[in-house]
Amino acid sequence: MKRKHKSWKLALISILSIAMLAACSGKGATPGNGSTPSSSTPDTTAAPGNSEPAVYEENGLPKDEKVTLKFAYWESGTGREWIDYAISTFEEKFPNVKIDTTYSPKIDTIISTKISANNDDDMFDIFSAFLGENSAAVAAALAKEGKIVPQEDLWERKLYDGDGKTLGELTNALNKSTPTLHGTQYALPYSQNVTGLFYNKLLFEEKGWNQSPQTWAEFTELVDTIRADNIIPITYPGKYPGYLEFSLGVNQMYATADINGNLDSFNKNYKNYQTPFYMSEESVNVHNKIYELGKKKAFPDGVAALSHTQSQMQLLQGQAATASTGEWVQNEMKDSIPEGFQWGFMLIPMGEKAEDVKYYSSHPGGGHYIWSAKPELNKKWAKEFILWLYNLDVQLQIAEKAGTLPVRADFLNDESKADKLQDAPKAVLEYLKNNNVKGASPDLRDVSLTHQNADRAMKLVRESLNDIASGKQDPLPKLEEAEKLLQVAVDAQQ
Amino acid sequence: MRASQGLGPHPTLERKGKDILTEMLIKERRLGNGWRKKEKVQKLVFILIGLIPAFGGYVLFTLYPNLLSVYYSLLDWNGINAKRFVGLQNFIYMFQDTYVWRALWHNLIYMITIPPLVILISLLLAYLLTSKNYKGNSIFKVIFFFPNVLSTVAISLLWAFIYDGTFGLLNAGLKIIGVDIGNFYWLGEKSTAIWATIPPSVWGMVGFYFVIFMNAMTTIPKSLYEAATLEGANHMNKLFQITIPLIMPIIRVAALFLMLGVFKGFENIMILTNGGPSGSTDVIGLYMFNIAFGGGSQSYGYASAIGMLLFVVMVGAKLIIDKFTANRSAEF
Repeated sequence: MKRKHKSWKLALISILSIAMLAACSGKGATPGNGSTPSSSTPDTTAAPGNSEPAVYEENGLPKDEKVTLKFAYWESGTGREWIDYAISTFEEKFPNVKIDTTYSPKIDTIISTKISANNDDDMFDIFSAFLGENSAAVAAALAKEGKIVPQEDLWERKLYDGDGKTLGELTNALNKSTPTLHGTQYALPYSQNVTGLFYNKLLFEEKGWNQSPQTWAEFTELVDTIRADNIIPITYPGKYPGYLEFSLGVNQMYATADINGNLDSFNKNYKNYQTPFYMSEESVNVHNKIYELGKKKAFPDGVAALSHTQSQMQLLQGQAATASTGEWVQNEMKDSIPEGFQWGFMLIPMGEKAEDVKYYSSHPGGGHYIWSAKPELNKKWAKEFILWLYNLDVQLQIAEKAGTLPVRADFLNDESKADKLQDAPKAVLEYLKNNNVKGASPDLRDVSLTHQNADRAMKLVRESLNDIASGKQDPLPKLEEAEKLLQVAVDAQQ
Repeated sequence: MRASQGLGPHPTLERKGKDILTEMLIKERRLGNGWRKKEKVQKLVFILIGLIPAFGGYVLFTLYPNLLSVYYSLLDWNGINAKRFVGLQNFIYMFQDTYVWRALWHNLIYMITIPPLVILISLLLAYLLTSKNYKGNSIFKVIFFFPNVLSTVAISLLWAFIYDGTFGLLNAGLKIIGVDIGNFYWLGEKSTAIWATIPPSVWGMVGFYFVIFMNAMTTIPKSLYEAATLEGANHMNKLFQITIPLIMPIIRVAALFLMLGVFKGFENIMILTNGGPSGSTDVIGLYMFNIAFGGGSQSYGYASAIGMLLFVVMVGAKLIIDKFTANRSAEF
């Protein structure tokens, strides 16, 4: 009898365990789970007996409704210190709002998985605009499907500490240069990522090298001089050839177009994948220039084996004169920078005249999207949080801790604040101040191509890049092949 | 009293007694049958409880996703847009995709090099340690098994350092023995990259199979070796005529696991070369992963079609192994 009792007890425990597992896997079964509508439950302890709901003066949002925002943060070279500061000050100011953050250097993979799972309850309320190597295509698809919320209205919002001024007024026409998806802005940059060639000023001074070549001829001369000193002129992580494009990529195509007076048509073609694309005059010019540098041995031997840490270490250890990367490099490598290293920045000039415009790549890595299928209150608070990132104290953290460039004009115009920038971003500002420079955002397009041939074309060019940069591969045949592949993808989509 | 009078038991009492006894027996039998029935039910419930979590897990986490990917392979879908049924278009495209064939070729190179090398080295090491009673046997066991406790990431990073052109151990070692090849990046050249990715895999896998083979070898009766020694057999005779034939079923399973593992795996390639230089180490798993989650347009439909191909190839590889390595088990 005792045995019988025991065995049934065992069965009951097992069934309970299974039932619990089933409950765990249930879709939004429990209340207060994440950012489901149920998470916006009224706080019954707030303002008892008051028929008027208490609202915040600054934004008119209710004080008595608790909201949890799920936030996906890309922990890149900028680290997490600054965002933690922003979150804690926001939560302190608005105690009914909790931000539940997921940090990851591979946040794009986590976000993509959640997007594909198509579970709105489980999805992040706010998530990084970095959606992998092909952010542009993914973001364009999200915008097209109405999955993300336009944020253009934020330009008209008064900043929390802006003395009555709006975001648009205090960000130096950032609203004009913020990239669009199908004509609408969905992620407003709270910082600027600028890419190009970073170098050690002291080494350049010591060797007497030209720190600001103004023409392509001057630049190639510099490459020859550095090579003659038995130092690698430009390093980049060949394992991820896209890094080369930080200094010799779409921004140089824009420069070519601008110098040749084709800027508008190139911009339109580029954003809409209009052919000729790989075989456009601008693309051929840039790839030929990479090939020319490759023949001059401008890049490291065995570059294809280098990871981005290895290539940046080559710069820090003086084996390479310059590295193709972004202004975040200082913060990213802060533990390995030798004493006396002084950051310098330059762009590769495409023109023949010193006054020809140069282009830097501006990456909208500093924006966040808001998921549209969330409760209205969550979306409102998500926008408030995005606005919070433009507070001067948060912008200061962006400068000091993230090592990147803030966007508040009154920050950059205030010398005492601008002095808080790390040396690499300072070097960028210095270069931008002294040269005829414009920015291009290569990441964002108005159209996304879904046909597999578009991927194959991109893969073909990316795979050829190391060979072109080693002077082993003439770019033209590869570009022609890629163009044919792309044409099929474009035709299929029409 | 009737007994004392020489009479038998009272007939009525006797009948009553028998009836009671029969009734008791029937009741007991009834009770017994019921208990057994309940026991059967209990057994069934117990078996179900034992099976359901495992089977449920298998259905939920293996069977269901696999069946779902069959469905996905028939779609044009990037995880965001509306699913569009395209029939066999993904498969047709796949057979025209030169990158698929290139990746499969690289997989084939790995399949014909890594499993044989792992099995050969593991067998040799296991035989050495079981046949000879070396002083440091236990230390050797730990050393040989050590790579197996390291993650693929750690192994890959370690070997990336070994192959580094500037600071790498390999170039330094070669220099010591008088072969100066300068700052040669083994993983950065198309001619060497694919071959350079083989030793890390072999090194990482040997430990596990070494332990499996060694345990299998210790179960072989010593008398067989003693008899062979009396017959004049040397070590090679013993290894190839006693040891290997007797542990052949285990080698067969090892070969199967290795083949499937090598075919599916791509983590080490991703870390060591990311498929480069110029796609010279791209494998089908990595290609599929990049199509689904990489820098492309995230075509889950096409990636699923490649997954189906992967499945077919692996089933084919299993059948080939079955055909060429018969399941001969020996009793001893």
